[in-house]
Amino acid sequence: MVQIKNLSKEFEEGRVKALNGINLTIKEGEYISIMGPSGSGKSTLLNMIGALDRPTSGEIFINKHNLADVKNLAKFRSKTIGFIFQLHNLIPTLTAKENVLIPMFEARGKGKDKKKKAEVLLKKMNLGKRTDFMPTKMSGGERQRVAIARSLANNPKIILADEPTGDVDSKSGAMIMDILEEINNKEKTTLIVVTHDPVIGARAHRKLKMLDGRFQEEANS
Amino acid sequence: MRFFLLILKNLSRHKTRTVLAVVGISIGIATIVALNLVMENASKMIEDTFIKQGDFDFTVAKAGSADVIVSYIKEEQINMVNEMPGIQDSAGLLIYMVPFNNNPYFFSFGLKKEKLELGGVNLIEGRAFEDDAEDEVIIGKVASKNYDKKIGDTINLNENDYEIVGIYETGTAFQDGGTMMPLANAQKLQDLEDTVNLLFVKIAENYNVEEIAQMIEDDSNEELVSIIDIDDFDAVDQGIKIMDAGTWMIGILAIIIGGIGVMNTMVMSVSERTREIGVLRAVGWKKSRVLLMILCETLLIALIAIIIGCGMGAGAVRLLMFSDIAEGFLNPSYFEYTTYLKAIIVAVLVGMVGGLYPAWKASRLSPLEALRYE
Repeated sequence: MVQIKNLSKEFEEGRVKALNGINLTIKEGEYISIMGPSGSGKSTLLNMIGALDRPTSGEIFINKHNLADVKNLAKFRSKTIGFIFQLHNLIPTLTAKENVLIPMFEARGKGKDKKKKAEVLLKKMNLGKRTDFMPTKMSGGERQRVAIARSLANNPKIILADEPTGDVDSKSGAMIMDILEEINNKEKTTLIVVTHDPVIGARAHRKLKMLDGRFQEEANS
Repeated sequence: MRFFLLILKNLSRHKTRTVLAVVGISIGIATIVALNLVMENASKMIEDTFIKQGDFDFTVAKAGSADVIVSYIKEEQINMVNEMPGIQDSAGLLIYMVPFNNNPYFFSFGLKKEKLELGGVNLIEGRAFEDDAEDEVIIGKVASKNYDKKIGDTINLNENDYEIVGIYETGTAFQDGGTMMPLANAQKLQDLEDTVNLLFVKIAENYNVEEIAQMIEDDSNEELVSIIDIDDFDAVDQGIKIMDAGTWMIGILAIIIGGIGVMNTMVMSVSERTREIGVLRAVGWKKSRVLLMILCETLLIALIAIIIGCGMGAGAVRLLMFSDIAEGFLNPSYFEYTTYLKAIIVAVLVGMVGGLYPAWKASRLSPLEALRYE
């Protein structure tokens, strides 16, 4: 599914090496956690896999497509990747349902079907009665669940979650992880979670630790 | 959710800011609409007065005059025109501007009684003045209504009392808003014996109007000019030309000022939404869709401004009509589509000018940089 070869990313004209020759292979349907201290390069790696940033050197293959050769990265992201951010990043003027509909603007299909799909996704997140709520009227956990529903809008092959529980309490955090794991189990969607939280990290099938832009260790649970 | 709804929601975030941007463009649009309505009214009035009305075919004036009221055609020139082959009839008109009531620009026209019909003056009530009567006038329909003057009433113009003996109609607000008196009397009052401002000329059958008009210009050594259409009017009155240029200048200024106002609004809006734009790009929105979203927001501001600005402009002209100066002068056609078309073009240009830069800026944002934006 994802193959990373000798990936490096430098900032400030090479003074800062965020990623230092990373090699990684992720199979379809895998559930991976990436842990490490701040500045270890885990979010940078996630951004590279999500085609939000270009590497300084090395290659990333997703479904055998080299990202360096993909001309329309927006289209690629729309079809392949589902992003979940630490801060939910919902659009404050839109309702929960409208936020879920945002990625579907680039997808084909009837508006009616898209609305139905947004409602179904929110229902799956236990937000069936809150589809028309504004983000400001929802709790942190609820907002993050809306963000998960938004990430699933275009049936992505890979979900990239950057500190998905970083801004919610532990109960909501556990609930969010339950939902993500269920998606991984049922839909066979590849799930890559970046986290500081060892409890959250420990839930993954495969746990990676990073330090100074390299994988420090890899251990199977 | 439709794309349009998203644009509406984006604009409704900062209502005051959006309203101020709309007001900024609306004022520009209102100015353009008001000026154009007055301009078109003036052009139509000129066309009706000097070209279309009455039995005459065209009007002759003194070439190079800054205004028709200083176009002085002397008796020998009048005679020259009248003696030319193909001239069936002509009527000299002298324009006399006097203060009346609170209106410093009240017009009184001098025309011979037997030339009233040729000059397009139709009596609708009473009788015509006698050419030798020094104290008789006929009053225009609009002036009669505006100043509540009827047949038998007296009107004081320049410290002289005149008896109103008839009410006339020409169909042009310019003439219907004043009075008419015998030509000789008007000439005497202005100390302009044997002089007229304009000569209405009727061509005999089987003669070509353009040829005769040209002949008048040639035979007078270009001292006279024939006004066959509105463009010829520039030769005797630069006012319309200056007003037209002024209208366009104001239009251009409106584009610049309105454009900067909208640009400021949209640059602030894009800056505040940087993170959101990052999210949109991260979830797969193409650059072109982000560009379209911001452009549509500015164009919607412009569209609302068109509606408000057109209403404000037409309303301002309507208000102006209540003033003493404009009374009887202004009779604009509010449904002249070219005026509104100009306003729409200006507003769309304002939207494009003001929206393109912020839209381009938003579309060029790196999704990652935008997501990191605090």
